[in-house]
Amino acid sequence: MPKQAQYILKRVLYSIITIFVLIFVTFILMHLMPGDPFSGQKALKPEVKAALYAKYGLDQPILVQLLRYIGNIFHGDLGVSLLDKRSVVSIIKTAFPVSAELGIRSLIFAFIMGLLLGIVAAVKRGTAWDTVAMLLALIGVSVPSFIIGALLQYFLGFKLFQATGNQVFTVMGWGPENSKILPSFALAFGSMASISRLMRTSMLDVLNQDYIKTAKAKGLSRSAIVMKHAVRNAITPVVTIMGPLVASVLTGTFVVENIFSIPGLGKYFVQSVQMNDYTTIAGTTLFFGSFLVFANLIVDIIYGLLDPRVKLSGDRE
Amino acid sequence: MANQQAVTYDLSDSAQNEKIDSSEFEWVGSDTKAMETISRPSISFWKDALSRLKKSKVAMVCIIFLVALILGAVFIPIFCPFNYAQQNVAYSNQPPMWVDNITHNAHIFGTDTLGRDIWVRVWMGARVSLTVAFAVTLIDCLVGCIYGGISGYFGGGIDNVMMRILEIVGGIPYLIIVMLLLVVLPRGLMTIIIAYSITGWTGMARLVRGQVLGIRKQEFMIAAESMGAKPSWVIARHIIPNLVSIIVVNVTLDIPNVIFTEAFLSMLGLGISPPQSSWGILAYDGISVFQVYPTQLLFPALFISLTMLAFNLLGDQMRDAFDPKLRR
Repeated sequence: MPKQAQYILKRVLYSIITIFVLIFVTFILMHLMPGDPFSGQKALKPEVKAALYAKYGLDQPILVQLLRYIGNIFHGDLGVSLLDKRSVVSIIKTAFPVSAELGIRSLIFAFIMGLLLGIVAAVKRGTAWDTVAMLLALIGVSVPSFIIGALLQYFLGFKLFQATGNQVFTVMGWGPENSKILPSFALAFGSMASISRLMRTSMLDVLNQDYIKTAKAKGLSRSAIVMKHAVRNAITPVVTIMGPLVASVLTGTFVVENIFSIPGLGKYFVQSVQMNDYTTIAGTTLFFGSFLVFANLIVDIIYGLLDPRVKLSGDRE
Repeated sequence: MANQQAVTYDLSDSAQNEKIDSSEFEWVGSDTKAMETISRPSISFWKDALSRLKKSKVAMVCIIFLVALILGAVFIPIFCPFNYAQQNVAYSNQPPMWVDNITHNAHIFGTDTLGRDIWVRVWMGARVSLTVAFAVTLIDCLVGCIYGGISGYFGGGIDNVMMRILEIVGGIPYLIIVMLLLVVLPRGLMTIIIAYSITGWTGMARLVRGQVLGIRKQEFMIAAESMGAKPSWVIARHIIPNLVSIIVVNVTLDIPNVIFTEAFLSMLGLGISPPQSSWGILAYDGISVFQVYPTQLLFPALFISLTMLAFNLLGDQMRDAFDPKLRR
């Protein structure tokens, strides 16, 4: 146990360093941005400008500004959006739950469908089931989420509406239940594909093990072998890609939220990047970055606890 | 007891019935020269892998497709009668295979909202996407190999420090850094390449380091070093040849990610800026009108998806060809 505690402590430490590097990088990049915050107001008098600079602490040396910036972050102050004068924290507070719901829905969907496809493909290896499942997975890996999203909008939103006359799926916004299905699916498709591919290889690996032969020799039913012996052991490697999956779902929200006009954090982030809204960019970047670092940390810890064979030295290669 | 009796009986029986000619036990001598001759052409690792790859129809189809795509991207925009940026509002939103009445040339994929020929724009987009993909993977590969190679070869304290740095750099989500850099730097091809390369090399470095560590533990390395081989010789003759296959596979599987990222950034208005063409821009333009003119999205989408599919499949097949042990 002390070894595991040591491992967790190490991971936590690296995560904290990563977040500080992220804060530093964001701060430096924001300083490199062209223009200054008061260039919008026409021809300020030098003394007014100096007063404004003094008020916002911009006349201080850069190190002091950095420390102040870090201090503000720990007070929960990420600045005010240059576009609509809302505080960045309040934007995150209203927009993040929407993105989180979208992300969680699609992750659940991706997991259930991906595991099912992978298990079926492995158990029915070499049959038409296997071919269809792996074809689906290949399409999922190769077709970007924005194309999947647009196609879903076209066929299930637009064409189905034309054909049946009633709106089965709403394709814009985020409100009633039927507006949440298509975006979640579009976001889930890629992750579903990678889960099913990984699950298939892992299952095939497990199904060749001696204990499966033993189970067969004992006369266990096929379903009992698959459910009790194979799936449980095959599922651990899938946990390792949880980290990258969370990241890909998160970046996927940038596009999917734009296509489906969902007022989530991804849409705000992209909007602020397009409109050069520096404070919102910096705030949301820090939030996204810390969120991902945190998610990776949790995945690593879970994996370390789940599989006692995992090397606790810090590298998973 | 019964068994023993049976055995003795059997032996005596065979001795009686079969008389083995004693000439069969004569010493034929040893021809050391004949033993040392190479009886069939030697097959190197590369020949072996290549022959396995040639047997795979999937891999061949992918290679043919990708070669055709590269040739098309180079030559089609040169010979096409239309210019990729040439607008003609009178010809906007025409269907595929539409023939205009001035030049009498067919617009194979039709025209877009501004009356630009989609066929030539798709091929120009292929140029951009493939350029970005190859440039980025080349840079990632070089940096990753050098970094991972040094870290894995020298090991110890250097490795420890380098890996900690890598862990921190790799921990920062790359897309966020790419987007941040695109805000600071002027938008364009070079910026995408630089921005992606800054974070993209970590995966390759990790892989190469792991591989080098594995190779260093093997007996042939110990043998080479105990015979007094210099590090430069060891790296050139023993480490690099053992790395090439895994690097090639990884690069092939990395290219679709880069193509996706470029398309994704251009889609969000952060990549290449119009009137330049890229697959991402075409998809973005297509999505805005696809409920009325679905083919305007269909063609770029098809090109993106098929290219990513081809690279993914080829990568999988190459992995199998280089390392048959892994095949499942």
